[in-house]
Order: sequence, then C-alpha cells, then structure tokens
Amino acid sequence: VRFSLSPEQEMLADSAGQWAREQAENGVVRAAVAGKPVPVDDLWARLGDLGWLGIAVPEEAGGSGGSLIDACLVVEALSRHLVPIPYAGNAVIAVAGLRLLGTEGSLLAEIAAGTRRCSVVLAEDLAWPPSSGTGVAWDWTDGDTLLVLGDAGLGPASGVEASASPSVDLTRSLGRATGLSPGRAPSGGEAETFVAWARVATGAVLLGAMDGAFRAAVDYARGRHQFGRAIGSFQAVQHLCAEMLVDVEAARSALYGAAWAVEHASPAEAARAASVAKIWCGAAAVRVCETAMQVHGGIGMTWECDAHLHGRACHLARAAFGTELADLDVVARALFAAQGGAR
Amino acid sequence: VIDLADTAEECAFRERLRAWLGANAPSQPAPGPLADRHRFLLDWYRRLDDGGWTGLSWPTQYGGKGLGVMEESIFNIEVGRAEAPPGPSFGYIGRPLLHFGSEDQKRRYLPPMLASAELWCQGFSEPDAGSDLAALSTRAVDDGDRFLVSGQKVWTSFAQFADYCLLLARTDQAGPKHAGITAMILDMRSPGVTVQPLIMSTGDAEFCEVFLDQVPVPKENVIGRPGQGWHIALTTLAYERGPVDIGFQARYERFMGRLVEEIARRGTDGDPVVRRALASAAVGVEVLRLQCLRSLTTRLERTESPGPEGSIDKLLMSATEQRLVEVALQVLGPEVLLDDQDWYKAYLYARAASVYGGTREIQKNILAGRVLGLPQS
Repeated sequence: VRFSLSPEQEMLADSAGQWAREQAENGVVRAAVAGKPVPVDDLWARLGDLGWLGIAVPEEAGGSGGSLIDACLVVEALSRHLVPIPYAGNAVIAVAGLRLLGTEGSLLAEIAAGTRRCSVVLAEDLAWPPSSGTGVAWDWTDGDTLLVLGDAGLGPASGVEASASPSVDLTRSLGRATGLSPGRAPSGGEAETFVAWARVATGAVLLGAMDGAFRAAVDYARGRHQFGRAIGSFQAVQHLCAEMLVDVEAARSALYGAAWAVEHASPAEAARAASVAKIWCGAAAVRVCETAMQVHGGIGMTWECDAHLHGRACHLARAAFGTELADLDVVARALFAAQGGAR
Repeated sequence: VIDLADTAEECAFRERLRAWLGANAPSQPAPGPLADRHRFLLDWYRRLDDGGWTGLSWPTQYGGKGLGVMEESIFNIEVGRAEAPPGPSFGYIGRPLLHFGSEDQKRRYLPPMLASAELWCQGFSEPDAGSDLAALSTRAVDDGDRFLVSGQKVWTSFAQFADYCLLLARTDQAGPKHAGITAMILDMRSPGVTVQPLIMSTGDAEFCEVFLDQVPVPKENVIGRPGQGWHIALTTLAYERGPVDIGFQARYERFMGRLVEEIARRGTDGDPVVRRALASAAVGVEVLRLQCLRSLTTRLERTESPGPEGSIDKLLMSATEQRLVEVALQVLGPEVLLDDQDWYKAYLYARAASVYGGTREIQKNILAGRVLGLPQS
C-alpha cells in the first residue's frame, strides 16, 4: 500500500495549477462572472497542446492513456482558480462515459484531439440519467455534442437540443436539454462505474474549489490588520483556518482514494468509495467556503471577493450526479451488505 | 504513487496474520471490570508476542521485527477485523526512548516493553500543567548520583499496573520554563510513589493520580540530556497524535460493525433516517482510514518521526470518534440510556478523544502556527 502522488503527478498538479492561475489573472474568471464572452475555444486549444484533454483517453484512441487521478489533478487545479471551461465534463466525465458505455468509437479520439466537446445530459434534478423529456447538459457550451443514455449505451441522439441555462455557479456553463426520450435507469456494473467516475470528477471540482477558498482565506488572514496586528494572529481566526486545513486534507485523501478505487477496485467497492468521497467533499467544501467567507469578514460578503464564487461552484458540483442522499444510500447499502444482510 | 492494494509482501504478511488470528484471537470479549480486563489484555498481549506479532516496526536488536509502519497498520486493521482486542500501545513511550535513550537503556528497557513483560505509563501532565505542559512543577533535586523527585502527576493512564514511568520533571528552576525539564525513567516500585486511581466519567478508573515524595531516581535513568525533556515530550506527543500509532482505526471499524449488527438485529435497518445516519458515520471512518494511509506513506517516504501535520489526523480522529458515538446514541434511541449503558459509556469515553494527547484547541494552534505559518498570537 502506498498513498502519495508520484513525482510526475506532482509535476502535473504544479503545472496545471500554474496554468490555471495565469488564466484567472488574465481575467477569464471575472469575464465569465460578468457574463462577457470567454475565449473557450482558445483555452481549449491550449489545453490540447498541453496534452490534458486526452489524459484519460486510451492510447489507441489518441490519448495518453493516463489514470483518472491524473485528469482529476487537472480538474482540481482549474477549479481552484475557477477557470470557466468545461474540462471536467469532457476530459473526465464524457471520457469515462464513452469508455464504459460509448456507442460511437470516434468521439473519444475527437475529444483527445480537441476537435469536439461533449456534454453528458443529466436529469432535471442533476441526477443521472434523465427520466423525462428534458434535462440539464453538464459542462455544455454552444455547439457541444450532447451525450444521452439510450438502449445501446451513451452517445449522441437525434432530436436532442440544448440552450444555455443559468445556474448559481457563475463559472460553469450548463445547457437545458429537450427532446429526450425518457430513459430507464441503467443497470449493470458499467453504468454504476460510470456514475462513480462522475462522482469522483465532481469531487475533484469540490476539492479544488474548497482548496482555493481556503488558500485565499489564509492569505487574507495573514495580510489583513485590525487592532494593530494581522487577524491571522488571533486564535479565533487561527482555529477557523486550522479547521479548513483539516477539511481540505481529509477531502484530498478521500478523493484520491476514490479515484484509485474507481479504476482498480470491484464495481461495488468503486461505487462505495466514490460516494464516500463525494459525501465528504461536498459537506467539507460547503463548510470550508462558508468559513472562508467568515474569515474575509465584510469583504467576504462582496461580489468582488472570490469566496462566493468558490461556494457557488461547490453547491452545484455537490448536487451533480446525485445529491448527498443518493450517496448516503449507496454507503448504507454497502454497510449492510458487509454485515451479510444486504437490502 | 497511489496504490491502495497490498504489495506481494504485504499480502503474504496479511494472510499469515489472518491465519494466526483465526487460531489465536480470543473468542470472548474483554471483561468489563478493569482489573479483569487488564489481566485479559495482558494475556492477549503476551500471546501476540509469543506469536511474533509485537514490535513489528521496531528494530530487531531491541526485540522488534524490523518491518515498516505499513505492516503495523495492517496488523491494527486485521486485529480489529478479527474482533480481537487491539495490540499493546507503547509507541508514545517507546519511540522517545528509541530516539533519545542510551544504548544501555534501549537494550535494557525496550525488549520487555515490546513483549509486555514490563508495563509503562507516561508521567507528563500535572494538576497545574495540562495544555501548558512546560509549566510542570514536579521537581527533581540533585542528590549526588541520583535525583530526589517530588510532585504530582495526573491523567496517568494505567499507572496502577505500570512497572515504569516515562517521567518529566524539572531539574533546573532558573531559566525559561521549556529549558529546565528532564525526561527520566522512574521505577514505579520506588519508595515514595503513591498511585491513586482516578475515576473517569465512564465510571472506570483507567487513569490515575501519581504522587511522588522524595522518590530516588538514579541519574543513569535520565533520557537524553538534562534539559532536553521538552523536546522529548514534543516527539512523544506527535506519536500519541497519530491514530494509526494507537490502533484506533480498527476500534472504530469494529464499533461501526457492532452498531450495524445491532440495528439489523432490532429490525430498524429499513428506516432511511437510520441508514443515512449510519452511512454518514461510516463516511467519517473511511475518510479517516484514507487520511491515515496518506500520512503513513508520507512518513515512509520522507521522515521517520511524525511532524506537526499529525495534528490533522488527530483532529479528524477525534471528530470521527465523537460523530460515531453520537450517531450510535441517535439511531439506538432512548433504550441505551436505561439498561444497556455500554453504548453510553462509549459516548462518554469519546469525549476524551479531543482532550488527550493535546486538546483539540492545542492541535489547532499547532496547525495554525507550524503548518500554516500564521503569526504568533
């Protein structure tokens, strides 16, 4: 048993963090928040140059055949800096769905090459798959291909269309999808494993966002002076910072552990591990973002402070691919199954 | 590298351990009364030692098995899964001895400690020196080739059964309070030692008060250098903070298992409120397991002794334990407040998790100052 990032993964996380920070500093986050156009296609081309679009795409489809953990490290970095691009939905969620349930072989290669973006369609309540004629297209930008679960698997479906949809998360673009044929809940290990992947991916969004909120709050506590000293020297504020640190590090452990399980453990264990991570990351992320707002004081209540952006991203990601209640049910089933009394 | 599966060696170790536990784990739970429980546990510790399962990560020349912390953690988990009591916990006393003791001391004291042939307690806290440990006032007065030690220790777990005590005493009254403290080995049978069990909120007398009145301690029993006691104490406390070092992960998993079993027995396992409460507690236990594995790997790869980040694990551990027992009370209902009070005992016991080994507030101070680098308050 070993549980640490490899030197290559550390480097990937560092360079993704660096790149994401540069994009944020160039103003793309605030452009998205202000409803101004974001140069998604340019950013996408650069992500392709960096080789990050095809991280989790198999080599035979033109990807680099890396692990889900690698892709999650990039998701985490982008989310930490709130870069408004549909990376998680493509490079992890769509890729996982196409690898496991895909009906059209060429899509993976096109995602890896950066020539096509895809968006998995969720139910109205952000669970998966949709059970009515309408749904929410996750990480969708205009022109993206909608992936819908049908009898044959996951792929494009005729007659399905999307238009831009608002959400509380100002740095993630969603669509409203119509024209779906109401599907049935998927059964079988692969559908279950896909949901586990998707939950890990949204967990990575949560981890990055809470980490961003945490770091900003600690920096603020160091620099903001009241009563003639840095507020970070006051024990009351220090303890808030320490609580955030515990939440973030535990979330990191939960998430990376689940990312490993989804690729290496049995489908049942993968599902349980992913739900554990999603539950922990979701609750911790909201706690951390609220604490970060508190540490920022009055500034934390303002539009200019990023704390609310991190918090908004967390609330949306927490709900995606099933709310906490769905995850708790997965964990409870595993508990009683382990006890021999499966229900 | 993230690989949460066993290596071939770890797998072989686990299999061998499982087989041994299958044949040797006690079939009865530990008895309730403290003295009986102590005899029961001692018997278990010695059986573990006979089987070659103690001191796994300790050097072979001192009676250890020369394996790594990963094997130690596999041991803790497997023992828990076999429903056996945890192994002996001596890391928080033995590690400082290993790091700072003389060669003679290590050869003399470590092998019987690992074998549970000699039992130890830790004489740190005092009535007026708890979180502010450096304020301790037990005095060791120079008396030729020995010290005469007088003072009072408190919260000393299992002092009533201990042969030796890792004692902190003040050898230098002048100078800054951190500088005058010396660590020494106290023979609990020395004249002038009085042990008074202290009854916990659970009704058990797991910890004690220890009164010291002119107790002679030979100078050869000093650990490290005189005045090095504070540094030694901090090293000790860092070990005491790691949940894996004290084998608590297995205890939580076992508790969780018993709780699920009890709920199934009562037939309330179909109630979604109960199921979700249990699941939320199980999430905490699982996240703690992963966090500890990550910390263990860091220790394997970077450094031998745990750093201030250990306070993350300790905080997570105490929160997890407290959440677990609170959920137990919640899902089991008022019945456990009446006849079967063992569950309530677990609840009370868990309150100590955020106090011993440094309170929750002290752990947060450590993280703020030494990990986040926030300015001194």
